[in-house]
Amino acid sequence: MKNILAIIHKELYSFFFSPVMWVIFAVFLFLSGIMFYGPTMTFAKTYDAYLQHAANNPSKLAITLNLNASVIVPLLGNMSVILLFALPLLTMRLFAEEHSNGTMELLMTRPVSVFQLVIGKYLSVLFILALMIGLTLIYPLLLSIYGTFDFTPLISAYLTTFLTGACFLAVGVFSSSLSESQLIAAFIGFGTNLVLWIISWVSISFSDDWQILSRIFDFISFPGHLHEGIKGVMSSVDLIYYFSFITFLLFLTNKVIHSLRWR
Amino acid sequence: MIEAQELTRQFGDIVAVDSVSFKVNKGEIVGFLGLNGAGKTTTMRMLTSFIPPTSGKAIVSGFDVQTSSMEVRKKIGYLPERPPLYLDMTVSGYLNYVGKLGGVYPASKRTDYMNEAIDKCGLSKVKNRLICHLSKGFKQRVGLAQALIHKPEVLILDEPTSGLDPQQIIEIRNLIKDLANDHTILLSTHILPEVEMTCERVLVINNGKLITVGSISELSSEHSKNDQVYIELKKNSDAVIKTLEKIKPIINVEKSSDKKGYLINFKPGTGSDNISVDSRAEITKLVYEKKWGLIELKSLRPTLEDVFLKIIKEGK
Repeated sequence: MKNILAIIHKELYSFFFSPVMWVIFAVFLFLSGIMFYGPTMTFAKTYDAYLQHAANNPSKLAITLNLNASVIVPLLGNMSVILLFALPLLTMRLFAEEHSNGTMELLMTRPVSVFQLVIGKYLSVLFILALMIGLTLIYPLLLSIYGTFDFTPLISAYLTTFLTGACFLAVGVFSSSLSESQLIAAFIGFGTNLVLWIISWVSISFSDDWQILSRIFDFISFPGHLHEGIKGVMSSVDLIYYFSFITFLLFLTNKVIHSLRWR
Repeated sequence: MIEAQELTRQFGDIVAVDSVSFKVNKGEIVGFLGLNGAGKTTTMRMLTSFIPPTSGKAIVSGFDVQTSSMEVRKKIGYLPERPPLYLDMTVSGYLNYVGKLGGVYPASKRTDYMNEAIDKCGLSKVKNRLICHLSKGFKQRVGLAQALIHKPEVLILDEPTSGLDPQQIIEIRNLIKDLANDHTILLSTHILPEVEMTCERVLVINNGKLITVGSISELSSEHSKNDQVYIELKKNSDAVIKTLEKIKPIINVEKSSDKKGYLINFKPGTGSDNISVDSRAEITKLVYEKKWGLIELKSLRPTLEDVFLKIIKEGK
């Protein structure tokens, strides 16, 4: 436990003193700002039109508009895509740098287990992810000031985004363990994330004979679990998916680092 | 303290270390000598549990490196060939982190240990600077401090003086000698004077095989029984050669390659007595009596370099 804390402390120190993290933060927040502005403006216009329509036809109000569905859902959906690209840049240095710096030789000759190392590094980036997503809570806060806003679905929505990000981080940690080059680590990270994202599109194209395959692909892919959760209905299946995905990738990372000693 | 039993490591078809066996006793400083690529680093990496041996066994501080590597890691301090530094950290921040990883708790104890390591390695001036701003010599010292921080029983140092200036080399050598009081040290190097000055015993390794084990004086006397004496005189004639050859232990006298002086060869000495040294007085007396005019007289003992290269040649 002390070792894990020591590693988390060191990693956070390195992150906060490196420009990389701040650049990622800045770009991420700028982009999510745009993603927030767009839907909010659209909502404002639609709402005006809606009010006019309601004034003209008071008896025909079939649909209701709410901020959760029209702003938060697209915002968090888009944010997940930005995270898909941004997080491998955060995780790329974790092991690649230790390899290229020769500091792996330090870590592997100290009474620290590989498990502690992987967990420590993973928890440190998880903390940064929480901070990153936490900063975007300002958007729902703004919405609640100017409109009526329901916070309950937000918990599920943010948790889903966080767990999706946590999956990206697990992929990133794994890909970082594979290479000495941070560039390669980042690119393998992107690639893996993207593949796991787009196989949900592929699954639609399967014919009826391949229903099972289509369902499997849909289950493996991120969007399959993301969409319902963002709307506010996270199921235990999704939770199991996220946790088993993360555990599996961290297990693989553990194995890769163990295998280094044999090369 | 350190025991290697037929330690072997292969990388694919290449045998980097070939059944190397040796022992290092408590409190000894042992030098690990070899040319580049001889297998020094690989052996050290096996001893520190960084890489496992293909076959054979290594026992450090009473623990098997493979089966109880965590115990071994607690007992050793290791300085790899390239100091494992985090360039974005300050010296004290880095040492603090390594101390934590070495299990030095609580924090107050760690601070004490850290200050001690900083003092020993002469880092007090730079302790708050970022490691990336330090010169190579200072980085090397930080690497050494890192190995000492948790006060390990055994120190394994891979080329501890590489990249240092002559002043620093002397300092580090003295430091290593000081450390020998309460540590067992195995250090590798290809700089021979270093071994001569710091180590009690040497292991010579070449092409992955351990060639010789022994103390420095043992090695050099064994491999240099034929000492030579060089003499330069004002008088330069063949008569000199003939007269000198009459002295008893001298086998023959020849002109040196630059034709200025003479090389005197002696009968091989037995055991520890050194004939060339004893005969010098006699030679001087003769030169004085004959009024040849002595300019220079020196013993040409083979340097450690000569011995080392000779051992390696014979090893092949």
